[in-house]
Amino acid sequence: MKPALHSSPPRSRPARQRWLLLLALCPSLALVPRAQSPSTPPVLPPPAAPLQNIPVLQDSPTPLPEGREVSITGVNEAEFNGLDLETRRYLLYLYARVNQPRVAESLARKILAEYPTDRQTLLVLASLYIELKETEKALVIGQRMVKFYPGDDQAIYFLAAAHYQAGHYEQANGILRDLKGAQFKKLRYPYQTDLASSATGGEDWYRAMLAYQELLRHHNLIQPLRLEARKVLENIYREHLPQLAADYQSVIIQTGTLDRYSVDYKQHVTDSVKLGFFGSADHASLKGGTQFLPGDHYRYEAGLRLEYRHSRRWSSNYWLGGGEGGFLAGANVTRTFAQQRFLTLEGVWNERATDGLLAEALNSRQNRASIKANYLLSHSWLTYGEVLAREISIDNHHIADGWGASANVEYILFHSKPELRFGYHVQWSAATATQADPSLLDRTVDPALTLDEKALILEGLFLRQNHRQGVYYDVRHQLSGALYLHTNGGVDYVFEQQSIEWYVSADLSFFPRKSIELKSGIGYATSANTTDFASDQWIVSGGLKWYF
Amino acid sequence: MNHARILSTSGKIKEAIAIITPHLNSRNPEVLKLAAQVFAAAGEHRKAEMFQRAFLATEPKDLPQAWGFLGDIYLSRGSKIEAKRAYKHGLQELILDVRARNEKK
Repeated sequence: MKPALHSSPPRSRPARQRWLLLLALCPSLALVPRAQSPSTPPVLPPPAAPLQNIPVLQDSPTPLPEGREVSITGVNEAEFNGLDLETRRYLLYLYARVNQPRVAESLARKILAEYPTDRQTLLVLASLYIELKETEKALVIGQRMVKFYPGDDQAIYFLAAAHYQAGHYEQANGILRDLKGAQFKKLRYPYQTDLASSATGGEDWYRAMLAYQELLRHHNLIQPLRLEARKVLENIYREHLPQLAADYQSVIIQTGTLDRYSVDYKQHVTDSVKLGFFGSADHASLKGGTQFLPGDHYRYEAGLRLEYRHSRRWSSNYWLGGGEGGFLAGANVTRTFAQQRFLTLEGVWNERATDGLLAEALNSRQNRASIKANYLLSHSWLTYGEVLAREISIDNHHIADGWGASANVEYILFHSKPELRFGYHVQWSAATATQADPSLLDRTVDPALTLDEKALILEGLFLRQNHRQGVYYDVRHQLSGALYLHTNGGVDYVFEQQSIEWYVSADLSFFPRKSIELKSGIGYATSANTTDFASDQWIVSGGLKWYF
Repeated sequence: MNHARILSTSGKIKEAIAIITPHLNSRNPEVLKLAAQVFAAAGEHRKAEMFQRAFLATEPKDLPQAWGFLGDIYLSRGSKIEAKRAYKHGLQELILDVRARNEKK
């Protein structure tokens, strides 16, 4: 019932990083200079006087003088002709800052017609194009600046920024790395934020991690930027550092309980390869009744998993293992497209079939092939879906085939604080009639049942048809510094039962330390989305994740 | 003061602060202006803003640049709206200045 896939929309470059681009301009215009490490050992200043003790600031903040009103848009540009270069440059700078790009561009073109290599004009123009996201123009100006001023760090920086905006992350990162190595080996690197974000954009997680660590350790960041950098770094740690997860889930229905325990460990062995192991144990407990025997049924499996990132666009996963049901294996390959769109092809051999409590108790298995796709329609609209085909077996006897498809369309109302989505989903699946020897059921049903009665139970092991459609919501919210909430719920129309069913769940994640995540969740559905649809369903879950 | 200015522009911010600190009680516009520049370079945007506002209150000759610098300080600390307002004042002053110059011609 929960949406099968989840993806966030692409994130544009953080606004704070964009205005940092602008600030790089300031030294050349004799405005706010950049803070850099002194090249000689620092001399500690005497303790600065508290602000309230400085007489001139006692009335602070000092009231600003009234600005004189004059229209900045209705100006005849001819008024600027004949002005000295310095004044025209400053007009250009201020017009760029007050978001009057066309006037600024016109002023810049006139200056460049007279002084084609004027560095400060080129810098303002490059910054302006980057702000306006006119990437092609920014690239042209960046290349022009580097041609005229090959060793100029700001010229090189703006070329890198233009490449970044064009999505050439590796190129941007390469330029910024070279610049750091050539000119800032022993100095604080003023473009460290951009170095880090270009490495992140290029999915070079290791370089991104080093860059963010250096940014946080050695740079005097304003608080919002520091928090943002820390958040990105924590995400890198969570995604890429070794981690061990242990989870528990209990599904409670009227006819019994299914408890699932799992552990999963993974770590990078190279930049692009992660290796890990997994293990799980299921306990299906049947209450028994007029047809069924009460009893406990267990199944275990364990194996190794390898994740390989071939390039920014291609990745694949492979796993191999075994358990009660014999040998199991699987592989998938994912092609990622721009803006987090992706397509995944997956093939799995002998995985657990989770069609219902009785099927689980009988250790039903399946071979499955599926295609998943995720497509971002716009900043706020997302769609994803899956089609699959499967071959179901019990005790190595092929007993049925199945197909299924699901599709979701989501509208992202808020992207953060809290992230709130509404969606519509369609789910359909079908299976052939079960063909099996009724003796397969001997472990779970009353031996006194007739063959016809057993055949009827076999028939109900897998849903011949399941069709649901409905609407749902999904909320993710950081309740406090260390506490996160994820809740979703929805209402479905179930075509086979001609009934309306609803479901809701809430999960809390708590981080007592940055490296430890404790999870706990609860969910309720008026009808299980399995062969146990006649029963309502409770799901209780818990887990621990440890990032090393 | 010149020494502090040179240190500041060459990136030796802590030394510049060391020189300027004993003079922070002064109401001299040049000291206020330099203090704003030095604190801005040190990343102490709040202090930089206060000194620059005090400098602006002295109605200096280079008003467009003074407003523009206040805009830069606001931008450095992430206050985009205030920054744009300061830049706009700077631009208005500069346009008036240009008109005055054109009239003289």
